[in-house]
Amino acid sequence: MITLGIAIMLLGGVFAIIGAIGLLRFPDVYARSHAQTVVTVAGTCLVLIGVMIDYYTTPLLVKCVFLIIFIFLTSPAGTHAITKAAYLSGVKPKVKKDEWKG
Amino acid sequence: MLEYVLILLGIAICVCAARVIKGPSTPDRVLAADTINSVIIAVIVVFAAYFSNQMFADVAIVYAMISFLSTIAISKYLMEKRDENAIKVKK
Repeated sequence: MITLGIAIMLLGGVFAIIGAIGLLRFPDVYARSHAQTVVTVAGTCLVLIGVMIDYYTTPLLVKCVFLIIFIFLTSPAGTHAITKAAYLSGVKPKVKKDEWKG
Repeated sequence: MLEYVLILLGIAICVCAARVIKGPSTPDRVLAADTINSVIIAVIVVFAAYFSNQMFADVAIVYAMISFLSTIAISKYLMEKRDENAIKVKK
């Protein structure tokens, strides 16, 4: 039997696969960071919300809320750090005009 | 039904691992490894629901903290050995 939480968890798994395919097929690091955000926010957080809905009577609820807040705080910081390190270490973006270089 | 969620997340981890193996530059590999970390957090929480054991969720919280720390550390390391021709830093 499929409950609401299981359905949301399956949706999160599908989003994780979509983001992983994007990570495999996008042209350079700066486009791949977009796909990484899809996996983190849509995939992981939807799975956590599904667990919260199905197990709302257990302490798992509080831990999932803490994890979602923590992921929302740290995921943009990590992605920003990686892309800035990629640019400073010399990976060229595949665009016509590099706006940071001027 | 939780097994199907684990199967989907496992396929996502395998596709990200292909990027870790293939990736032409180091930031590609770091980005894909960070993606694998965030999927593994979801896997651990699904395990906690599957075995109905609360301790797995604590492991997931600590894992999230350590993965963020490792990502920031590798990024700082890559920023230190910067390419001088890539950008002239504006003062």
